[in-house]
Amino acid sequence: MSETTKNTKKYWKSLDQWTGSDEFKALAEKEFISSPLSEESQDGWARRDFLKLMGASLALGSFGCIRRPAQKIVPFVNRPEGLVHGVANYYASSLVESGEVSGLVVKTREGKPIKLEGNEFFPEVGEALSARGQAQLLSLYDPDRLKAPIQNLLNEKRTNKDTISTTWEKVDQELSKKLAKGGVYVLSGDNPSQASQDVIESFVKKNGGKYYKWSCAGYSKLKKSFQDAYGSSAGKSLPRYRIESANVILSIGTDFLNEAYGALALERAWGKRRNPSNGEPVRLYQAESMMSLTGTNADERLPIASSKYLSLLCAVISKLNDGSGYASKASSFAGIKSLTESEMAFVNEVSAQLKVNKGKSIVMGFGHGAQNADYSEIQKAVHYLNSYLGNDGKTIDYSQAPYVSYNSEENALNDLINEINSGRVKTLFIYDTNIFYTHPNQMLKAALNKVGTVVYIGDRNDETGSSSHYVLPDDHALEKWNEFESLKGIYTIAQPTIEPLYDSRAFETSLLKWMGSEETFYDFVKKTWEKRYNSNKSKSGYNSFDEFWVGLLQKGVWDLSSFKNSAKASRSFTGSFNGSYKKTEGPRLTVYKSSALGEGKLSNVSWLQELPDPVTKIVWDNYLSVSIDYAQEHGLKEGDVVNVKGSTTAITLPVHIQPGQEKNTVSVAMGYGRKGAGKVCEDIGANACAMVINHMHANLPVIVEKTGKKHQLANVQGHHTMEGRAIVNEASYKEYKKDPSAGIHRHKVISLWSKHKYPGHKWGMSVDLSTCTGCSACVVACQAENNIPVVGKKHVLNGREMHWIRIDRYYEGDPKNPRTVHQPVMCQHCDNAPCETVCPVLATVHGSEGTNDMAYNRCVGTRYCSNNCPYKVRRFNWFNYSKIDSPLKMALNPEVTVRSRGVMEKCTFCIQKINQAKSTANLQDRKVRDGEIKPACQQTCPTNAIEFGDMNNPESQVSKRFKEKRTYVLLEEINVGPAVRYMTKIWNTDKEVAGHHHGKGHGDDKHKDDKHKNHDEGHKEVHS
Amino acid sequence: MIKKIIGGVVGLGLILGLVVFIYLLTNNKLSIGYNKGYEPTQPIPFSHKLHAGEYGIDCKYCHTSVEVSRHSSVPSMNICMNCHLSVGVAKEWIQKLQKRYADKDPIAWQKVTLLPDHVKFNHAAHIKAGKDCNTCHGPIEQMEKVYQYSDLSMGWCINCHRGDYDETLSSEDLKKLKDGGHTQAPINCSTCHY
Repeated sequence: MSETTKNTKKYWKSLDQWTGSDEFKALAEKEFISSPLSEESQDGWARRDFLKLMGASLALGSFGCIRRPAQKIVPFVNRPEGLVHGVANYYASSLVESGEVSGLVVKTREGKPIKLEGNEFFPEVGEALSARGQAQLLSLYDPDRLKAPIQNLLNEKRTNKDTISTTWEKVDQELSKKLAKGGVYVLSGDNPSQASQDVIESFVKKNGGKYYKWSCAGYSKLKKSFQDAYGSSAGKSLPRYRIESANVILSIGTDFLNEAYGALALERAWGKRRNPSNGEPVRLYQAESMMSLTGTNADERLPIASSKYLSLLCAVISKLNDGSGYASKASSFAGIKSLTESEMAFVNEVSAQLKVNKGKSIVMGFGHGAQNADYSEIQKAVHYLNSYLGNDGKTIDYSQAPYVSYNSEENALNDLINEINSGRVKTLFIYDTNIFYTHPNQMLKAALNKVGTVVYIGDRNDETGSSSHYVLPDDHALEKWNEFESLKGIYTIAQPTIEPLYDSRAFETSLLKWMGSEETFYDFVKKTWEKRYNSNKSKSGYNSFDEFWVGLLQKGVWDLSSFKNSAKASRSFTGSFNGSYKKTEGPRLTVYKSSALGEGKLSNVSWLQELPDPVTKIVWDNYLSVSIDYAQEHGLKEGDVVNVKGSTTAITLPVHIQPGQEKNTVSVAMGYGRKGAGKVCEDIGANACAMVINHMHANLPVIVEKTGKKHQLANVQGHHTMEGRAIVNEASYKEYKKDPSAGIHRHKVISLWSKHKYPGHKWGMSVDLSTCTGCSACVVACQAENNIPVVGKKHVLNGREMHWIRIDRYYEGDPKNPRTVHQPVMCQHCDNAPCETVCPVLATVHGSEGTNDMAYNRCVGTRYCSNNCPYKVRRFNWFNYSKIDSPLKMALNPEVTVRSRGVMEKCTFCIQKINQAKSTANLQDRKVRDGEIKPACQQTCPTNAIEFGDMNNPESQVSKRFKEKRTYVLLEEINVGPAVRYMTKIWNTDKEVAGHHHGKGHGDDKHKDDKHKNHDEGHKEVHS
Repeated sequence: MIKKIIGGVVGLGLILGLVVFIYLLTNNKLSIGYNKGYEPTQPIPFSHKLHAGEYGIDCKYCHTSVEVSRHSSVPSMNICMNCHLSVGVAKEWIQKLQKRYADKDPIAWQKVTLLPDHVKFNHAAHIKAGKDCNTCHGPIEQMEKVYQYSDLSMGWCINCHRGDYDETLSSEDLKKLKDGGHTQAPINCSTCHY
């Protein structure tokens, strides 16, 4: 038993903490203080004045409110069938965002959608939903949505002179004249709806035009690469990666847990395979230039320049020693010599692992990080590896149920421009794709200026809208009938869950009308399904289409795929190697899809703007991430504003110094810098799409110049510092196999208090750090369920963000390539809750089922509880954040009180869901079943990292998890007895991770009490 | 001098008044802001005495969701029209009702029994627990014009949840109930406040 620091891991949350700068220390001291007087003391009220005023208004108030406010009840004239006041209705639906289809269950109350959930029948994904999927709800109630069709009066240069409102009748009249001239073209993004495509195709056919599909982040290049590799007979669909049957993944610049097609399904499979109770976790090798979400989850991560991706792959191929022509050519690739020692070490380890896992590995390289000039060669090398290793057809399913929802073509825009230049395009409809934002290109602009009439079908007068003659609002996805095909043979229905809020009209209905049809798009969708039903009648299990239709509307999905069968292999690699090596110098830009905003369609959704980036933890901004070395070399500091000059254009961004970033790689997220898209996203960040050239998202040569200005980035790091305590426990799989408690430092605790009795239920939650990827879907789900307000950048800077669940992200080890862990922290619902004992008004008290209850109406806002909370999970309403107007307030959950100013709040374990489930069980004369109550965070979690249930029921999932030796308690030594427990993060690495903690602690050895004091300074004891 | 005496008397009276006021307030003798007895005039003088009392129509016939939902729900107009398409058609108010129905113009009833927004009351759970409507709403079947029968204060709720008002229980049974915890109505804050 020696006291030493040498084996202590050092966790740190930001670079400032690592270096121990003065700024950091000042910030850490300010943690959770955020006094109302500290920031605005000059013009704000002094505290005494405030109390005086309060006293006066209290006296006035208590006599003023003797007369009740008269309230009225207005019942229905005819109550719609199935609508019961106070009971939620759920509708199966689906929606599509940039080609990705999500199955949905829409929760509605009194006819208003209030929450989106995943559809359990949606294959591979189930109840999971991403952060953006959750946030689609708020986009329905976006106050900046277009409320009626408008007409932009454009001048000769096609800049907007004036916007006038118009009506659908006028639009129909005016456009039908224009349509009669012919030359009618339609441009859209990925469109996975057969019905929609059919309508558009017949429309353009009738009017002598063509239909183009183009997306700034489409997958047509990837699809083409399969033909390069396997010959022209290879299909053009996107394969499904079956992580569930893989042991090793090599990912080259691919953030597959976040930005890939089918990311949610991959994440779900990842969750299953990363749970060490299910056997050895899949091992991930990630070689990438920037720090991505997937990179933070990698067992071995190599920061490597995007320009070296092909070299790295060739080096792996050369190690595998295949004699084929492709391999020998690739093995002699000049770029291999450019790899450094550490890069070659990575290559050696990866190739050794791939060799022994033939048919059980996956090589991936299609992400935006790999979309550089070598993209097609990288893909070929990836396909070669997968074929050589026998993965193609096993872990890579290209035949049974590949993705078909991404059907845009990279060349579509060029083809359209050629058509325009040849004068054939007289009227162009741009359907739901904001091309002037995603492709802000002068050539495109010049070409579109030649088109007689440009009609934009969008929901706002944004970048594309303001350069179009007409902007016609389409119904929101939750107001519209549609249908989608996501995986081949898997069809989903989209049904409206609310009447259109505004004077909008489904685009397809408009087209049908302009074609002289009386049908609406609903009729057309139904017909499409009828056809589908008729040709697959035997598989439906229904006797008539009408019955089938009702069944479909209930279930939302029809699975006609042969999906359950294992994948078949029947193609062989025939590609040839054509790579050429070019040395690169200077900073290289990667443009990536952030997990919050994606391609920017949902930029005006405040939930997403305030969602901390899973890696950087910055909100309300995009920024240029640079490496530590680069920042040091060029004298850049966090928040320095720089000009990033590309070959055609420049953008101005603040700098963020990112650990783990490759030295010369700079990166920036898409989705920011919107113009005219709404109040929320106006003037935030810069449009990174401008830097993308020819679909290349990575390895873009740029010049970074300091401007001398500063911009403060709102980063939620720096609060919640852990001061060296063993908060996140980690171990390698080997260590875990030897000792399931590896990595855990246990404490023997004694209590002076008698324990609470929990005669009925005792609710508890388990969070598995091994499967948590940090994706942050839970954060938005919680926000939607619990009416959590958005506070804005200014207040986040003051440490006043309101999220009930936060995901702490810690770096460990070498800052240039750190290991990262994510840890969701919500109210721990302690048995001996420190908050309860200090509340002077008993606003926060202990419930008989173990919950730490918060009676908002009792809270007087002393904030003692927050001050006394060791986990810092309590949130205070500094202002009346929830004072929002219609339509936004329609998104509020009526089951949860809307908190007003001066009230403390925090995670309640979704007490409204607990009460609801108990009430339902009571009405049905039964007990609450295990798994019946799913808090919003658990429900949406793609990896099943969160489990909730009754600890008094030994058969419940949560009890079983608590019994596992991997479970530990956060800050056990303070003995607050949390009902939330964590499970050690298990890495599948050969390195030692757990250090010397073997699940023993103070209670197990002769540890003396005098050693305890060291806990306060940092976790310095080492037990051997 | 007189001024001083008057001042002293008034001051003493004020202090005494305050003491009495506080005594009454803290001993549940005086309630402020609870609206017990509130009896608003409704846009149509619907008589519960007639419908529920004389005709004996079951409460659930109109308040349909009381067994399944948090809310008992005020009936939609089509429920009124189940009878009043043919019953009482000659009466002035019925004709008005019919016109409103035909115009699809719903009636805005005055809310009588009001709980603040931060309290969540579940009708279905109370009906399931065997509580009669009268327990909280009083002799509705005798009310020509409905008034708020209970004060709906938190103390009033809690007393019932503790079982203090249940005269059928012996003190021993009550003790058993309280110790057992489970069978007793919950008195957690989060039962009603969340």
